[in-house]
Amino acid sequence: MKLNAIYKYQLVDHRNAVLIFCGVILAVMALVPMQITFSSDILTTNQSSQIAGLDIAPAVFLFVCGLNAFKDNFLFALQNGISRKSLFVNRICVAVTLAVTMALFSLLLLALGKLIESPLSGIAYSSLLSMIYQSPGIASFSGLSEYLISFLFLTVLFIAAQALGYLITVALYRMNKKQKVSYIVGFYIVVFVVLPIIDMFISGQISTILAKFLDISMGISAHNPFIGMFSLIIFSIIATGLTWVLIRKTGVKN
Amino acid sequence: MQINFEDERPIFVQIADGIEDAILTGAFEESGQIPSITELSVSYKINPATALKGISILVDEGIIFKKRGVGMFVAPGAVSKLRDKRKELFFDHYIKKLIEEAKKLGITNQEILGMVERGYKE
Amino acid sequence: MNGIQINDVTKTFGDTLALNQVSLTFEPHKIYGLLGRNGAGKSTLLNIITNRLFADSGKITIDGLVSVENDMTQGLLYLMSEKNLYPESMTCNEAFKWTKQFFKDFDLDYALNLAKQFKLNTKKKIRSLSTGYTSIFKIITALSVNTPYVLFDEPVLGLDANHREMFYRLLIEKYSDRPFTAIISTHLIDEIASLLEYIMIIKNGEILVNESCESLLRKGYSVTGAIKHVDTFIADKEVIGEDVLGGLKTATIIGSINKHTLPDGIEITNLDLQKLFIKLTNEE
Repeated sequence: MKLNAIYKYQLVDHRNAVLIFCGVILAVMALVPMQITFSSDILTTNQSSQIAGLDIAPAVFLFVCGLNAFKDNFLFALQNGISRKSLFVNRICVAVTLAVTMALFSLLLLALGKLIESPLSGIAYSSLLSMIYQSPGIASFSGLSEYLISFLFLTVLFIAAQALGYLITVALYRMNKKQKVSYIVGFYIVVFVVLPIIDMFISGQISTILAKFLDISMGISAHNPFIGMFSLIIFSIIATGLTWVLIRKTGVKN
Repeated sequence: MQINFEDERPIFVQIADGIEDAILTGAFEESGQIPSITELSVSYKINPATALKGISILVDEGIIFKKRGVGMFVAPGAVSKLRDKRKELFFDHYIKKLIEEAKKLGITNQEILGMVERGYKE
Repeated sequence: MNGIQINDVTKTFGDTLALNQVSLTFEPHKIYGLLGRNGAGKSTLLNIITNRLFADSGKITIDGLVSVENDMTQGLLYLMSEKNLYPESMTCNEAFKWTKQFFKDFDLDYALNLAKQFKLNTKKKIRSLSTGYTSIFKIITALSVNTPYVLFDEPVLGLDANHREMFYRLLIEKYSDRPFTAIISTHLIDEIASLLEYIMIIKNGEILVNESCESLLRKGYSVTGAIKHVDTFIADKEVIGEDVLGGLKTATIIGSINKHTLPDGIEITNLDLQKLFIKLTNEE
């Protein structure tokens, strides 16, 4: 009963944001063909529109959802006699639910994209999956397999995005003001100033290594989305584990 | 009935005394219903356990009886029982002191009786 | 073992010792007063009981079960805390609705009825309410939740005299109707003393007094009379407070008294709890 309630509560907490987000994305999808239909001489200008990787938007959106999913829910759970453990377990369930929902939504977008895609309209729609992994002759996705692999890949990606957002917000909650400021500022300085400068002096070795790491872990050059899924799952598990370590002993702050 | 937190009597005694007074003056009639524990606690802002303790004294003395599910009632014959009890107390509280004081002042038995008569007339 | 058992609980915040080896028992179906000055450790204790904070050491059991991170024992408790833990945008109605989801015995009709009595607009967001009405919202929830243990942290904060009286009345009614354990933390003792069965006074994280209200009142007394009389009377006694008004003097004394040896011109009354409290909790 109570476990149900905290699951339901956390899910309902996201409901409005999810609905608005889906509405906006659908509107964007609808605008593209409309713009082409109504702009005057399409046939003469040979203008074409590309909708590519629209499903990265839900990943960003869910990352932000993860960022907003801790503090209020944590306090509300404590007010209602829910332990950190139950809150956390149910948070994972909510994250999976949201990931599956948004992955299904992305499949809907894919279907719609296919529908409006034609040489005549000049619209080309490509999913995130085909954008990253497709390569003529080596890997191509079409038909049912594109939907199925997209669904699996996006679900895992969305779970990872939320896990990262949730970890960051929990870490920030654990810090006091001073720590927060120094960590955020420090992070930006290191990532956007220190590393690029060092990188410059060692002729881009850092960025090369990073790119290589990303390539291998995501299976991009291998054109294998399952390697990417595996890495994302490992990442989610590590992030979630760290989050639990941070939540386990957290108290209400004054 | 008044509950006074600064009264040296404990509150539950004050509750019992207050109900006794109400019965003696006829505010609560014999066989009539008296307020419930909740009503007493709410109107005097006291812990219900305290009110219960006060009522229990009266129940033990046979002044009040409880009817399950209905409420509490003044026992028949409660008034005369209370009068007898109060008369005992009257002697202890007033007469003994009166005589003690009278002895100090050298007032005789006759003189006191005369005074009492005068008091009743006034 | 029923009740809330607190065993040797210690809690520090940095260098500050908030609770120092506190041991207490709250029995079922009694009304407790938890008294202490601001920062004495009252809220910390209540927060540890309700799993909001962790104790550094010690143990708390509720009806015999360890209370830490335990959904089952925590479902037996409701704390109306000074700190608002309800989300920014939640309205009173939504909060009632959700509370019902978490506590199956929450009585929604009763809550709405109380809201009407207090003239609380339940369509409003909780965070937009005044201090007084925030307290009222919390009181209503706490009185409607029907858990065996209800903890009130400064329940009458910001309430006017009428609303305070209403709260005390509703508390008694609820308690008579459906007995529960109430733990009320406050520093307004006089108003509430007659409601309390037990009084616990906490100072600098330690329990100073843990006694039934009645026996605490027997600990001392106040005497009033002409200054000269009172002064002679109290000369050999432990005096915790003196007030002079015109030629009259009132002294609060700790100890028992023999009524028969009371000198003329001196009147005796019960111990003034507020004075006792101030005396006990004063920094020396």
